[in-house]
Amino acid sequence: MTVVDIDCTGDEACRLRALGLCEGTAVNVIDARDAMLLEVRGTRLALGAALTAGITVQLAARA
Amino acid sequence: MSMPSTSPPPVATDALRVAIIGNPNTGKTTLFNALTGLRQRVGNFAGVTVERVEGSFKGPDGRRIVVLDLPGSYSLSAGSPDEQIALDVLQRRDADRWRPDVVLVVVDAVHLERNLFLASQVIELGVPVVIALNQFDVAQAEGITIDVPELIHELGVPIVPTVAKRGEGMEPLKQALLTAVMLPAPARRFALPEAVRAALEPVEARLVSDGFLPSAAAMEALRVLGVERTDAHLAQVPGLAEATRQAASTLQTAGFRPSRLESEVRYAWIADVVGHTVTRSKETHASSLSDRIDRVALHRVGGPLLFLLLMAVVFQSVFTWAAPLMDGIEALIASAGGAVGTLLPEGDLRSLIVDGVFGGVGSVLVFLPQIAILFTFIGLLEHSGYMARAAFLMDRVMRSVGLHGKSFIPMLSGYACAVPGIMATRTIEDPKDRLATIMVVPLMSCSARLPVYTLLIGAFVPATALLPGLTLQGATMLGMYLLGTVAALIMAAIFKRTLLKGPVRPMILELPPYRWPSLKSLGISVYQRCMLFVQRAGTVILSLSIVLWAMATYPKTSPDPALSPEMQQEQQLEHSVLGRVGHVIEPVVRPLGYDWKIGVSIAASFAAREVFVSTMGTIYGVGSEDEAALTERLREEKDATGRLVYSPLVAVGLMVFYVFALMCMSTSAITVREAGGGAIGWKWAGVQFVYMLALAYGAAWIVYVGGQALGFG
Repeated sequence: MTVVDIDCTGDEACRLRALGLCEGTAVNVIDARDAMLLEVRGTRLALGAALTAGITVQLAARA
Repeated sequence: MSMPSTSPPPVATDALRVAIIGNPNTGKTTLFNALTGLRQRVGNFAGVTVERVEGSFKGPDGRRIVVLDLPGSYSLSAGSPDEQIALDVLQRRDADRWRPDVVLVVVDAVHLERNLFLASQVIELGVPVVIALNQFDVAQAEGITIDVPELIHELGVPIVPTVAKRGEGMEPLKQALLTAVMLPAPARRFALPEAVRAALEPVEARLVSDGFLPSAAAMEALRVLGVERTDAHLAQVPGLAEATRQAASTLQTAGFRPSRLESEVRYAWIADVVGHTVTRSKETHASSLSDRIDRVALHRVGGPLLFLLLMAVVFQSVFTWAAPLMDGIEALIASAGGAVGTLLPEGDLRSLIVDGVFGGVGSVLVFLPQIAILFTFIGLLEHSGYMARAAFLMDRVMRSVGLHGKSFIPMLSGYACAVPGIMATRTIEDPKDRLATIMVVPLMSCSARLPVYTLLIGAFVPATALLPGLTLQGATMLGMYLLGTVAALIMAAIFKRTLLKGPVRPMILELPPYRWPSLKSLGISVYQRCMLFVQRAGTVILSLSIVLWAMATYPKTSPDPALSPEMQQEQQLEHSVLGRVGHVIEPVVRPLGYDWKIGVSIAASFAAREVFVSTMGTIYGVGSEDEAALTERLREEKDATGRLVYSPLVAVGLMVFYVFALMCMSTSAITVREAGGGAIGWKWAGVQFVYMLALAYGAAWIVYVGGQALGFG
């Protein structure tokens, strides 16, 4: 799936973008519980629920 | 402050200054250690709690190269104090005026795409740059081929493949650092859309007129578009805020999103660079081993169980493995003190050296094995990549009291000893979370409280069986540990809502692939922690020990020679400053049910709580070695009216007092240092001491008065 929009405070959005999670990035959800485990640009990120709630994604069309 | 015997010689004026920067988990510190070995000096950046490590080595041409290890950063966006420091040093505006001649960017070859974001920002600063393409071996093993000459061409800076863990690539890297200064200054490698360039021009002009290099101004102008707040160091640039607002609104009208512009253009360029320099031969990531470990380590049920098991092992080893070493150190210092003592004439000087200096410093050095063992484990967990998983697992629990997942390990370490626990808070990035954790770690019952609990429980709590394998004595002990733990969690929540009020930052954690830790790097970090403890805590403790010794020794009396030596000792103590303090504070401790003797023991143990037991031994004239005799004596001790001094209620109240009271100068000394040093450090150490003393007094009073009201005692 692809990130469409990141809606959180400027600081946090800034950190996420530096970590490679920005609008247009392809992400894989590895695990979703209270927090979420994502695969982004070959790295693995754990994001709190407060953050993931503000991220809108679009499912990639199946090839 | 420098480490004894390893401090580098004074830096020659022509030394080359290199600042090292890189994403966390790139092996940056390992590379720093590979370059400098033990020639390192640890301190703090001026005015902040961020640790500053500087090292040096001799370059291939004999020139001295001084290296500054900047905090791990994902970007130069200054989102944390660490990143702010890195940005200040790289822009040559830090408070220490440390000006790098070359910036060494450590880039993880496995995650090139993400790492190039920071590298591209650094390249634009206009300072000579060298890139170390680290973990090159892992990238190869994972089937990632990087066309290094092509990458050099794309980035316009020297790039050296390295494997820092094995010291590979260090010689070419040193050579590259020396030659980099002679190359033309690097600059931005991509062009902005014309509309963006035009809109940012006024912002750049403001920065250039404030002294920024044109290249750095270009990087800074693009960067400030994306940050909402104005950074402190930019607030003074005249007209900058207005120019930035203007540029943002122009770009907005032109259909751009100013806040995401920087990441969009940088990652677009990076995608292009990576596209024709990196090839992946295998579709399957070799990180699948990490995946398989994580399937267990992060399992909803198995994960927490594994974590608890690991923590049990760590905790138990700190407790048990350290014991023989601690006994050894104690014996060594005692015999050294004794040996020195025989060389001195009987009298005050001997007493000062043996009891004051050797006794006081010995009571501190004895914690060294616990510190070394705990930091070996923490280092292993951290370097292997497990620590991030532990923080992830504990995040939800710790969040409920307003702390971070990473606060868990320091708090758990507090059960063994608050000193390494407080030192372990360094892994917490948010300064408020860190301070809140430092403030509550000493509430966890440490091993030094054990002698106090053991003495009082042994004397006053009957060994009535409650359950199979659990007596009332064991339950009381468990109760003391629980009391401290619950208080720590409650106090953390209170601190986070009052003095250290701040938003609970949502978790953003990178879970790095699991790796074998580098033993050399691990050794160096454990050595550093131990030396820091010995030096900083040691100086404070030495002076306080001497003060306490003097208070217990002066003024002198001429005790009745007919009395036993123990009684003479008791008389001397009663007449000393410390004894008088005991009498003065008697009205204060009276409401808790204590007499002046307990007052003295408490006063004497302000420096180290375990001193309580030995002072009681001195006061009751039985010596602290003979615990059974002391127990007996305590049970029978009567006051002037013939009433027993120690009711079980008094004993329980006293234990509760020791659960809460911060009576350990090692802890206070380390809090001063870790809370920021100087006046700030002393302030927080003061807050910590006072709040814990207030808690201790209040709780002991509630136990005593409440207990009496309920008919106990």
